[in-house]
Amino acid sequence: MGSDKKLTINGREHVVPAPDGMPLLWVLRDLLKLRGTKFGCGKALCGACTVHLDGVAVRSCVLPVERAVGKSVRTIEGLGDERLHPLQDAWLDHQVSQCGYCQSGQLMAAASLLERNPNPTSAEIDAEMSGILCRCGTYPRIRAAILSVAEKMMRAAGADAS
Amino acid sequence: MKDVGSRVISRRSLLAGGACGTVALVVGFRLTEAGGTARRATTQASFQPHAFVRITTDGNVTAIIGPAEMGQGVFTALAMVLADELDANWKDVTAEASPADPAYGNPLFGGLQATNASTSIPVFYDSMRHAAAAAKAMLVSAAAARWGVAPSACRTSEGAVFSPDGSRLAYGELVPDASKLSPPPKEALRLKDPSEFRIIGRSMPRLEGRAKVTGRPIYGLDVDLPHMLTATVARKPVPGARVKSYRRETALRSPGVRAVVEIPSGIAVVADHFWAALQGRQKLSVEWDLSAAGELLSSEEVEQRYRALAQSPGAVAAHRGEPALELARAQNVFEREYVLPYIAHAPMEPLNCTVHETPDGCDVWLGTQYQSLDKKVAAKTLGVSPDRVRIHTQYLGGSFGRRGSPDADVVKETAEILAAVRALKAPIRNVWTREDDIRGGLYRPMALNRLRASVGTDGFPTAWAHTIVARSPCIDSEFAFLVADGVDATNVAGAKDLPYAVANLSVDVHQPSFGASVQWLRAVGNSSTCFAIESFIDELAHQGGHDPVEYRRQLLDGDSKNARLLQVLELAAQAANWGDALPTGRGRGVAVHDYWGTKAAQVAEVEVKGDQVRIDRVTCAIDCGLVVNPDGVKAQVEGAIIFALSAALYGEIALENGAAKQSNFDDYPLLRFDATPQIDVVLVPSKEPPSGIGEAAVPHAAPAVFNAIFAATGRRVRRLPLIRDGMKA
Repeated sequence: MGSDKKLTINGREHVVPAPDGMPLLWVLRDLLKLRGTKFGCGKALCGACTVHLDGVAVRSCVLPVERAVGKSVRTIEGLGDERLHPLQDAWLDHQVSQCGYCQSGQLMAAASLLERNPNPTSAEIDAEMSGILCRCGTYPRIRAAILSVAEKMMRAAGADAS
Repeated sequence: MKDVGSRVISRRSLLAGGACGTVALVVGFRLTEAGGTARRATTQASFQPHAFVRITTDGNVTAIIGPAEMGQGVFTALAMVLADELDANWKDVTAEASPADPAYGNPLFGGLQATNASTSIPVFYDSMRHAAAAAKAMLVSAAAARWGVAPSACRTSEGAVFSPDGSRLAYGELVPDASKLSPPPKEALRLKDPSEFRIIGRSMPRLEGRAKVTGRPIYGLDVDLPHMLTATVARKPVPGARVKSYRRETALRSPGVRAVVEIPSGIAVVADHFWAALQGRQKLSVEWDLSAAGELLSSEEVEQRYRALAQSPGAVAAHRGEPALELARAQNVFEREYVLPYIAHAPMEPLNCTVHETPDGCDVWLGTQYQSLDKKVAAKTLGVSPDRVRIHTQYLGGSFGRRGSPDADVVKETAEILAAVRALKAPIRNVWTREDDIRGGLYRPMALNRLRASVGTDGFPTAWAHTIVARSPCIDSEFAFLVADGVDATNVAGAKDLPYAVANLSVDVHQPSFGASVQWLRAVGNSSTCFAIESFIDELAHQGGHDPVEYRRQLLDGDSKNARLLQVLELAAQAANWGDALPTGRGRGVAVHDYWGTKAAQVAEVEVKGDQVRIDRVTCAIDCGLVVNPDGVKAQVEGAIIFALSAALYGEIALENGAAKQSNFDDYPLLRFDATPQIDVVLVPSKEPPSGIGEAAVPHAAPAVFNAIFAATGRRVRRLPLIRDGMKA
């Protein structure tokens, strides 16, 4: 069923038989068995399914798979490599996770923000992160974790410049 | 006695790609009815002297945890308790979910294996320490025998036994010898004095923290088995509805759909994967016959009936003095009503369950708060003996009570689907959508509180009458033992034990059975009683021209039972700069409450511009007795406040013709990142026994915020959520 789609996910090419219109979320989870990206609402309301499409944070639960063809998809499984991404380290330092279910989406949104804007203002952090719901209430620690990484990045950039 | 512990499928085997991965065998180990009794258990490779602990020859120590890990940090906290008493090296310690077995039953709940009411630490703190002390004594005896010295001459530290001359034997090396010994009797165990603790009381990172930031598939919804099919159900809009018609053939022709079957809860579509199942379900075009569904009430109708009930006394929960007489003769009597709507738990992970039948029984994977019932219900539904049902508890993507439903609804439904499609010979994963969850019933009970108080010339209450109307989640469940003389303890908690000094008191409750189905939600009835009492006491304070903190202080003072409550009130007021002047449009509000032994006070500071409310800061002082994991406790308080603010500001499930109007996070909003206040937590150091922390900071946030809004504006809101009052937040 469905035509083969060629997808580039975390740098690897996959050919997957998925029907047009099937959301990328379910292609990732049910066809490719990449289950780090989470289902929360199915309507781009909670952000648990956030992945990067050519570096931009998108809600994979409403993104038809054909729109990801020819683009680069990055999921939580590809956020770090052998080492954790600095945000993942900061998440552990600040003990952000409680149930943890939304944290893939939180991390992908935060990573996209810092890649675009390594020194975000409080309002810019609000704007990016308010799209991702957390029922356990980890927002204050998410903010602290993002700020700590931004600070480190700015210090490193300052050191490079000098 | 049941021999169910002979086969444990480790979480690692699931991660490795399914139930057929590595199987850790713990041979000859029998879990028993007596969870607290150390039992002998052995293999050459591992040593499990007790249901709660397993030590392997490589030195790994596994805490086997009965309560569910749903974000509250119980795996880490109980593993810390174990590791401290065992003198294990923390880096060798992991935790895993126990099987469903009476050994892990909660003695407070008659042995049911259920994670409820923040009881995991208070209940299992001692038994975990006893398990660890027994294991340690056996390891020490094994070492002492090898050295030919007295056990009492040896000491333990960082996962090893040391002889008087300094020789060292690691626990792992001692496993083969220790596993041949019998555990010492409980009376022979010497537990550490708290001054000897080296892990308890230190902030430890969550054991599963790394899995949670790297997207490891650890939740029920992530379970993936060979040949598994996914089902989703077009569920009855209201209980008692019947199927009138649906397009079975159209749904069956939808790509990937394998079966369409009627089950008691609705019509299940079974397909190759979730998306195919959902597409098939959308093609069903079900028409429902509601003629047998009984009364289909709106929330307004339920509330009107509640209000009528509240005019007469209900079942008596507490009574002292002559409240009726005093209220009748007093000059100054105040009467107020406080209403809380139904709300949905809405955990971020939608409800799901996976069931697989095998020749020797069945396996059930899910995130659950209620393993003992899951097991019973799966067995009954599939017609197998309960001892052949294996429950594999996964990490819970939130729950807040929902995954502890009184009829194990999701397990029952999944097993029914499986039974209807047995011919497919496939494991079945049943997935609810967010809409299914929000509209699926089992809400926090709607509650109406009628409060009356007579007040003396000094402004202090002389009589207090509190009538509560709320449906009981316990009646007709295995938790009916919490209902005595018609009073569900979870509906009146916090009200019947009113801490304030009032000579004449009555607390009574009506528990009608109409309206939406209900289920405990984080902080149970205390969310309702605390909102009502702390709002009303605030009204009485302002009425008499008293400072709200001072007024509470005076009403608490003089009773030694209130010493810890008074202390948190003082600490919260101090930390929040209570009494410092605020500009116009800003205000502070306070609430103090004892949640099943954990005492907390919160001060909220808000800014109100027109109808726009902004919560700037919430300060909480909390005393939960001995603190196992301080940072974990702080995280629970922060999370509880944010959880409670969603309910205070936005949370409402409104019924129309018996069904919820809301369906997803657009019309059932939760607090978002940008609306989150600064939260400050003051932990009270204590040597008292530990009490619960998962829920204890929930009840206060709503009354503290509403009291602050009154302080800022003079506007008194007596109904949740705030946006119902025309305000924006």
